[in-house]
Amino acid sequence: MSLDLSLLDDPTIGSLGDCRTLEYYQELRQKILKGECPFCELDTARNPVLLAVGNWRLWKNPFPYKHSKHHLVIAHQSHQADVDNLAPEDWSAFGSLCRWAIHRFQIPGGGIAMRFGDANYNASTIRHLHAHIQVPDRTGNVRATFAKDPTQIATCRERAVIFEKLTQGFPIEQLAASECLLIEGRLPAEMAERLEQRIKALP
Amino acid sequence: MSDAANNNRFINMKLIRRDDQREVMEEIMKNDHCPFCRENLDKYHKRPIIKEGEFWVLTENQWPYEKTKHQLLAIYQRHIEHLSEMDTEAGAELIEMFKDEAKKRKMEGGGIAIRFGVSEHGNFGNTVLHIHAHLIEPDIKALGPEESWKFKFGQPKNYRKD
Repeated sequence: MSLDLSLLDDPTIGSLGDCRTLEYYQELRQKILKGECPFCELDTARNPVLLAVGNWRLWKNPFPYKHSKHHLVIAHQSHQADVDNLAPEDWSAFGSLCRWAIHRFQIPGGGIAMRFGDANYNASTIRHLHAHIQVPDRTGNVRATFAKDPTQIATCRERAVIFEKLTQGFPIEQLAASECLLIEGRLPAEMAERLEQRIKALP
Repeated sequence: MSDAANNNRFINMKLIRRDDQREVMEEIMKNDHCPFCRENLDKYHKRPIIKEGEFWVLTENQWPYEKTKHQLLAIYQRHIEHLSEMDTEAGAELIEMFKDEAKKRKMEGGGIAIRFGVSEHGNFGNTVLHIHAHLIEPDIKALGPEESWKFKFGQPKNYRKD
């Protein structure tokens, strides 16, 4: 099976190598193939915009981080890679959106995180300026990743190659043991069951 | 020692990471001060003030997180503990300060993060409850194999569950 590994990184859209789940991988892959940034061409059926203020819009992350009670995304409407070209009014509008979300979801506390600088140094998946409002559900810490060790980046890419194989129809039942372990806990329910069976059947 | 005896209302002693930090935090606790309020800052914070704006005081973290190349703190001038209390214009000043300092230091990339708020179950990972923002460039070379640098939002390890 031939795999187009050049898909793994699109310097202006995002990095498939950083996708945490198969579902997320497939969504981003589709966008990259169309040449669309997922935050410029937001799929509002899947990510209904809760509020837009100024040049920003806010929606619930459909792929929330572990231990999140609320995980909201705020992204600029235009394709900005970093904070460099934004006007002071942009940050006032950003603040208004945060205050609205805090009120709307009655958020007693949590965190807000935004990556900056070169995507090769900040572990971002989507190359479009955005922030996360993260509210822990009190079952554990919520974490925002700001950097990855090169060996971890390599592992993530290996995982993306397996996601690509599955996307192209490669049967789970034929995955090698090392491949199974790399994608464990990262598949939708029906596929996860098949993966579990595959792991049990491994010698 | 009970939680009440182990904290003053401005700090969380459970989140202390270093011995040298503990000494200072114990003094803060004893004096019942908020260490980030401007009138107390110079007493406890021994890193230079890089810039002082209308809303924020920019400085370095006195006790930087492990495996960081740079860790700057912007401390809110007024004592607030929740994002909802922040002035509308404060975000623009914060980003300008961070942008300038990141450029000066030739920072390549990383993250900006703010923890905020408290609940009846504890806080959200902030040692000092007074609002402060972090600008962090992780030291990628210091990371071990398969390690990522993560900023944590959450409560102390032993916080109560429902």
